[in-house]
Amino acid sequence: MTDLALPSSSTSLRTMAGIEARRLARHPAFIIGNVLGFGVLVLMAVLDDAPAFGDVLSTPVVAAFFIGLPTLIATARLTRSTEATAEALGTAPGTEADRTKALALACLVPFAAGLLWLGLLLVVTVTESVHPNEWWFGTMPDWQVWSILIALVPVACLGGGVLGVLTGRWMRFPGAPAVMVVAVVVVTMVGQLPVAYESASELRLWVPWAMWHSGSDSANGTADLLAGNPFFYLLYLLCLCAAAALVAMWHDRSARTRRLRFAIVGVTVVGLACLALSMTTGSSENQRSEPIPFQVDK
Amino acid sequence: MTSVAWYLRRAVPWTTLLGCSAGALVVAVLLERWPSSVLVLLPTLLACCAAAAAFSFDETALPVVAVTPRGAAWRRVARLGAAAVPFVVFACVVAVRPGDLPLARGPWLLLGAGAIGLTTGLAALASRRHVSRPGSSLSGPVVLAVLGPVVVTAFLGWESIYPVGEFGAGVRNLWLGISGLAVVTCLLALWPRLRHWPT
Repeated sequence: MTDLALPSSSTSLRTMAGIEARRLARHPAFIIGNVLGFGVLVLMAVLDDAPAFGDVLSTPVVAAFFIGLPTLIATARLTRSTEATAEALGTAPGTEADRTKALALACLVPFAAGLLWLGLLLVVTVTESVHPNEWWFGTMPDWQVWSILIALVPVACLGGGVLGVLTGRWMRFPGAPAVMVVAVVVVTMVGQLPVAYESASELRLWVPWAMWHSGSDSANGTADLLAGNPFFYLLYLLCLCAAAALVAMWHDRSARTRRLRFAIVGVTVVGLACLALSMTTGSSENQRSEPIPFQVDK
Repeated sequence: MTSVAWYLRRAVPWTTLLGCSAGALVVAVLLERWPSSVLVLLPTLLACCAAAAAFSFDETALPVVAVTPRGAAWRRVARLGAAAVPFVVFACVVAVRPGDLPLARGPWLLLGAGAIGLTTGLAALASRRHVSRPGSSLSGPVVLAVLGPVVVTAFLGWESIYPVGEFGAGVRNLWLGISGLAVVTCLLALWPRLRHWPT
């Protein structure tokens, strides 16, 4: 008699995550977003006739916008599309929490895209060179540069994907992904711009995508590095991503176990601690760079 | 016009459409409070209105109503009335000029008509292709398409396509082109029914 071995839960989760990752990688919003994200960076390098690549630490917004936000739309729609099958036929694979886990794991695809984008940015800074007065390696500690870059590029792309899964699970009305995109943009801007250049600049760090570089002042060629501890901000963003995935899983009533509840509370507490540390440690004031001549009157 | 009003009252997803328009008004309030964020908030306001217009052609029971005697063309022409609501909201905000911004009213109305009109035309075309709910698919990309140029122009050093003051010739021509495209897509979606406006 032949034994029919059922696949283990970790194997089936891996299989489901692989399927969702391929669906995400083929989604038009994700593909177009990536083309634009990489394209804008290449254009920035090609069209810029300045003697060096400027405002490097403010360029991550390109990846966060063109990879992170379209990923939000793509994962929200993928999440809803699976549920439409489950509601209509009851034939979707695994439990809802399993499908949510698979979708959250598939968000490693935009994370990888963000890493690639970051790699390209580093290549551009090597080929184009960076002015010695620029906020970059050499003018600030390496761990700060890496923390800012990782938080604002690959983790932001990962966050967009996970937020899309959360949106797909909890927001059932038409156009929910568009509403979430607008909400993210408005919260990010209104939450930080009024305080970013004031004495309490670190209060901006609660937003899901905080600026660390002001962009160059064309009047005198200087740029501000904003206050706060970027390493703890990176940990705070990772906690936000984990919390979003766990709360998306919480939507499945059968998955509301004591363990999941503790995990959500734990991630929230750790995230708040990281936020507090990012605001209270590190630089307490914005720091101004030495003038960068080619940024004057640019 | 009574039958058109009766139809619009029941057939258009007003909760979603008015919800997006209300979102635009919330952004206008934020703009009044923080006018320094105009470079992002004003395009966000436009994005909300354009997203609202995307829902004006959502028809849950499209296969059923497609075979009714009045026909699809009548419905699509009637739904243009619903698409006008977010444009009216946008026009009111531009007229009020929140935060005492020096908005050039005429060019900004052209800009709003172009973006909202093009979204409406695309939704109408999708409806013509038997997509029952184009709003859900269209609203997200529309929001990104409206906001994307803010990031692109800032980093590539190009002239902003959302100038707060006077519009340059290039930007004005761009929006004239987009408005023309909006008219073409609407005509393509509504033709030949435009010869017989609903009564």
